[in-house]
Parts: sequence; C-alpha cells; structure tokens
Amino acid sequence: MLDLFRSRTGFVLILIVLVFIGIALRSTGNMGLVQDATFGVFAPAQSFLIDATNGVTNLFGGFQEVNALRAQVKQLQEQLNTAVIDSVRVRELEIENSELRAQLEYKQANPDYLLSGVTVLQENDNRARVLAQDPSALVNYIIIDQGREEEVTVGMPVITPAGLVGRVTEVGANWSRVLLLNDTTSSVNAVVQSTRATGIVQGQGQGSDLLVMRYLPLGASVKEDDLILTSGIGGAFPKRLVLGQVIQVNQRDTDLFTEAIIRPSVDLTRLEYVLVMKKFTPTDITTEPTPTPAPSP
Amino acid sequence: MKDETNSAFILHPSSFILSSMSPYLVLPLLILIALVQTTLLPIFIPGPVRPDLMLMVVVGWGVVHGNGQAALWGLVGGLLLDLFSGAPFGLHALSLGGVGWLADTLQTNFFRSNLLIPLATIFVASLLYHIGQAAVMQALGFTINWAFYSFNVVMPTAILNTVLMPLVYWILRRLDRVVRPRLTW
Repeated sequence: MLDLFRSRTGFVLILIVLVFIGIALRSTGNMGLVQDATFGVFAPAQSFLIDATNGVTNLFGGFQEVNALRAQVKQLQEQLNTAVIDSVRVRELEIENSELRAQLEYKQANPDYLLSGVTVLQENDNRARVLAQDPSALVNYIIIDQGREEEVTVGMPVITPAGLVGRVTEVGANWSRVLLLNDTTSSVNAVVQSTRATGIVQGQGQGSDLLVMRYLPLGASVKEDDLILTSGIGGAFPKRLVLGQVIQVNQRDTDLFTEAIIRPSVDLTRLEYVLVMKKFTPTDITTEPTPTPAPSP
Repeated sequence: MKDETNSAFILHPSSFILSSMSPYLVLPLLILIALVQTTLLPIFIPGPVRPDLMLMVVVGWGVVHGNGQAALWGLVGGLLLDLFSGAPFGLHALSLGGVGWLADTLQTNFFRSNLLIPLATIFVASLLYHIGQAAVMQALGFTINWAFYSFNVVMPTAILNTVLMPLVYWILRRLDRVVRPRLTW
C-alpha cells in the first residue's frame, strides 16, 4: 500500500485528488486559506518581477521612443486644449447641479462619491497594483494587491481615471480578484449619455475586448460615438462612471431591441494600477423587503 | 539507482546527483513559469493571444523525457495556474495533465533531434488544450462563440506556441541531458 503512494502512479492519484478537493473548496467558497497562503508567498515575487521588468524596459525602450513621444505630445496638447474648454463647461454644470440639488433637498445615496475618476485617484494614493492576469483567454480576471486588510469587500467597483474596470469578486487577506468588464459574466446597468436610453452592458469574452449593450429600445435611442455611462440602477455601481463609446449599432426590423457594440474607455489589456471604490457600498438587495400589494377592500 | 540500460554500462557517479528531476527542482521551476506566464507575459504581450509557457514546457518535457513525468508536470503546473485563474478550479490542472500524458506517449529515443516532432506536437496540443477547455466551459454553462474563439484566439495561439517551441525544446533538451543518467564505457 505504501509502495503505491511512493510510486509515480500514486503521486498522480494524489494530485488528481487534490484537484477535486480544490474544485470542491472553490465551489463552496472555502478556498480562502489556500489562496491567502499562495498569494502571500507569490505577491512579493510578482511585485519584484514587475519592478525589474519596468526597469529593464525603461532602459532599453527609452531610446526608441523619442520620435513617437514627440508626435504623442503634440496630439496630447491638442486634446488638452479641447479638454480645458470642456472642463470649464463641466465645472459650471456641476455648480449649477449642486445648487439645484440643495434647493430641492435631494440626498444622494453616496454623498462622498466623486464624479471624476481622475479626482478620485489624485486624492487617493491608495492605488491597487495589478499583480497578475488570468492565464485563460476564456475568462477575464485580474489579481490586485489589496484585500481585507485594506478594507476591500466583494462587490466593490474598480476604476481607473478613464472609467470603470470591473468589480471585486473574491477577497483574500491582501489580494483580490477583479472581474473585468469584458468577461461574459460581467453585466452592468448602463445609460446612453445623449438620449438617456437604458440598457445592459455585457462583455463578450473569449479574447474580445469589446462590450455589447443590449435591451436598448428600438428607434433612435443610440448612435455611433455615443458615450455610455453606468446608470446606477440596481445599486451595484455608482452612476455616471464611463463605460465606453459606441462603435456600431445593430438593429434589424425583426428584433425586439437594439444592440450597440462598445469600445471600453479603459484598455483592459494594459492595466497597471486601479482604484477600488471603498467609499461606495453596493446595495445589498437581498436584505430589502419584498414589496407586497395592499389587500383589496 | 536502478540501471535502466544494459548492465554492461557503468553510470557516471555525478549522474546520481540529478538522476531524476526531484520535486525540489521541479516545483520552483513550475512556480517560476506560472509567475512569468501570469505576471510578466501580459506586460510584454497584452491581449488574449499569448504563448502558453506552461503548456510548451509540459509538452516539450514529455517529448524529450517522457516516462510519465510530463503528466505530473502538467498536473502540478495546472494546479498553480488554477490558483491564479478565475476559471473553474481544476480546468488547467486536468487539461495540462491530459496533454502531458499525451506528450509522454510520444516520447521517443529516436529522431529526438528532429524538430518536426515537438513542433507538430505543440501545435496539436495547443488546439486540444484550448478547445478542450472551451468545451468544458460550455458544458458548465458558459456561452462560447466558437467561430470567434477558434479563429481569433486558438489558431493564433497555436501558431505562436509552435514558433516559440524550438527555443523551449532546446532548453529542455539541455536540461534533459543534465538529469538523464550519463553513461561511461
């Protein structure tokens, strides 16, 4: 009997048993200790590898990038000029909005949520570093270096200055797993900025970095270049986070709804640092009482 | 150590040091490969089409060394990838273990310098690996766009793995020469 376990066959059997134990643990949500131990050991090594890679890349890449950088600076200068004008206009609208809300005594559910992702990141040095990406192209997850010790909980939105990245799905001691927007299981309630038509933005996964917005009303509810924002419906995400821009509208006479293909505002393949919105508490709809109709007289 | 060859040959004393790849060498190697695949490769090669480093090492070791070791490497390497992955646990372990087992059966002491064998093996293994994982995901309820996934991820990845396999195969053959018992007349 002991010889079996000392042999290669025995070792293979032990590994297969470990795999099935792992399947059972993860499906019941009890994988925490194992993954805490794993990422507790691996995270410093991953950070070291990333730092070393960035150092080498900066050393050799700098020489080749001068001309590209010059062209990029010129382009960015033009964009900045446009952005300054827009920023002034937006600021005016914010002031007007604030005054009107005060007049109506309108209370927001999350008064400490800031509208601008850039502002949020500038005022928060507590960025999370992306340690790893999923090795499979069938799912879209990243691992970040913040977890329970940094007060991260499941369901928290994850953003960058460019917009929404995804949400936290699993939390460990000092690591978290984030489901990206372009995963097939990702689903976000969204609104078209120009027409205020609502729909659901889902990922297409399997290697595609594009999103699809479904259940839009038929008609002129959306057009190309429209900006898509989170609607806040459902309480999983705050309102007005940028999701992306429409690049294609699909509408056939036989369809019940219109679909739009969206390019995410965030490059989900090149994430380095993200921010977890810890001040935003996702609404726990499971605790809300089910409304019951009043009995008829 | 058991003399697996003709008893007329004498094993060189130094071969006893690394006469088989002990877990104390294999595990750190596979951990390093898992870290490189999940942490470094996405930095240099963003996007879904990336070399499957663990797959290439497992398949390559099976062709070079065989003897059931590739299946073991696949299971252990796959377990490590499963820890990093949000996919159903066990997906990488079972698929890499299965592919490793297939690679073990292709191990041969003949034509080992023929590069076509590992190239053909990794190409077929890449197709089986990715399509097998997609089939399992579909069986678990995920929606798979087979046409898009096959032409935009599976085929390009298989081609990329094949292009890079000569380098990996060369490294593994050097490693195999170190761990195989050396013979003296």
